[in-house]
Amino acid sequence: MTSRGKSGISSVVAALFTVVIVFFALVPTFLFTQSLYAILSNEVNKRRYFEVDRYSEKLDVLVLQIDNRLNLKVENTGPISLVVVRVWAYRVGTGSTLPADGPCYTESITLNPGSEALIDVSTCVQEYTGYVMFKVVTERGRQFTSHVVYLLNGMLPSSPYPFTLTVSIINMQRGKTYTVKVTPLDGGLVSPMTFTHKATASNENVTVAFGTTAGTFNVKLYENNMFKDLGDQNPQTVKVPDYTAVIFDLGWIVISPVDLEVVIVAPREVRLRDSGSEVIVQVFVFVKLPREAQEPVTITDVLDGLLSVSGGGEVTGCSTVSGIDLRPNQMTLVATCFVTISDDVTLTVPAGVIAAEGEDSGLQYFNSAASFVIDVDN
Amino acid sequence: MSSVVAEAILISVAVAIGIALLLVSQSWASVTNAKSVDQTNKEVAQQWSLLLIEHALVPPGPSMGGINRPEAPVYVSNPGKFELVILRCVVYPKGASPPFAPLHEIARVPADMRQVVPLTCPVYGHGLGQSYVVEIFAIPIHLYDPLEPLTNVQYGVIIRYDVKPTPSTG
Repeated sequence: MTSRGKSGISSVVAALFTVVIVFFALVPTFLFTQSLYAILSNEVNKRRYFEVDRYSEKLDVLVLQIDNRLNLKVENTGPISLVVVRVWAYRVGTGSTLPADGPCYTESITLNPGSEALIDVSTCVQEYTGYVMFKVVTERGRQFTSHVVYLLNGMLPSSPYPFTLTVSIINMQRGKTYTVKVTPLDGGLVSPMTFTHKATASNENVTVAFGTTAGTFNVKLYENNMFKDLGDQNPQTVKVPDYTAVIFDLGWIVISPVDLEVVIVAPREVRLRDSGSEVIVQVFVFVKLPREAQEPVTITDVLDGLLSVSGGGEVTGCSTVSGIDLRPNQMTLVATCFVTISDDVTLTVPAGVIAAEGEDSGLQYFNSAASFVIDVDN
Repeated sequence: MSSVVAEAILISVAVAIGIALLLVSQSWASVTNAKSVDQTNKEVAQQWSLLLIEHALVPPGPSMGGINRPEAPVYVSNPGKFELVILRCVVYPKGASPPFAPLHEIARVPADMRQVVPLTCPVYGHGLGQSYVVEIFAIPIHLYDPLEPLTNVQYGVIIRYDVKPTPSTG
């Protein structure tokens, strides 16, 4: 019994060592590793917050001239404070810096949300003539650029509108009034702000130029004072001078004029009482607008001598009518003539003697030639 | 009596083995912990290794009336937490394979954006009007061994920046 009791001591000692090893080596190692993981995880989170902060930075950069000094107005429009650490000036086109050996401005400026500051950049661009752009670098490593501005001897040119924004309205509908309104979105200037034009012909195109400063502009098109729904095309937002042209395509169809068809209505055959006698017949000249015409027309002109006679007869008189509206596939009487006939005759209406005007397009329409034969039976 | 001796021997052996195992496990734990700390530090350093290319300009190549082996001025700053050592800076045509360039210390960029550091990087390959890539390899300064620059390169960062060549003025 004693012997068995003693023999268990070594097992107890071994177990004790096992416990000691677990508690003094493995567990601390595990806890230490966990704490390192927590530290790493914490750093990853900090890094993520840094990125969030970095991309929350928003800075508006505007080039201004105050008392013969060129300034950058920097405004913190984001939700967090930022620090401007450097300003670069670039020649647009070459990409080289002004001055050539480094940044333009290197003082730190702290900007709280909503606050703004002026940075004097006159010395960087002294006497420089050409297009230039400024870049502002923040402490978190973000870079914000100004608009491209044209400088004349290091100053903004005297014209308040150095850029031209052209707005084209194409394929307008005749008779409708179109208005373009240009609204600055970020403090830019534009002149004029509105332009109105009444289309005098269908599919008419017009282009108007607006003087602007650099900036972002909203361009809207109105038709008869109502906003014109053109999907993505209207309104349009343009950033001048990156983009300087806006086109509104109203998609009005292209109208091509067609020939008016002439129909002569007269007796096919006349009988004379005796040889050498004459008979007077009434001839009606109708004009028809073909079915394929793309718009209604108005008859504007019918020549008095529209009917010519060859053979044994002559026109004794015609009365004509104009000012009549015609729709596609519609026919109307435009002339009533009297023809004295002594033998077989051919009545002819030459091309181009009847004119009409397209109601939508204002285009001119003319008739094609037509003829009619009257046989005389003696 | 013999059983007592045998038990004493067993206990002694158990104690000896236990102490040996304890020492081995302590040593292992120390080494593991040290390695973990080192690894964590390196990973944290890599996390905060940030480099910003503020400006780069590729001069015109021979096809555009420029010189034969141009060098591009590149200005970098460091918004991260650790000072960085630039070990490589090359400029090559966009879409081409990066050229081989040995790693060696080119410049040091202090942290916190305090300073913008100008570099001069060689331009490899030329084409008319093509875009270029500025590629910079940097490593945190406390991971950099000046005698063995390749040590810890796996914890370095590569920054690329697209740039158009300058039109020739001549």
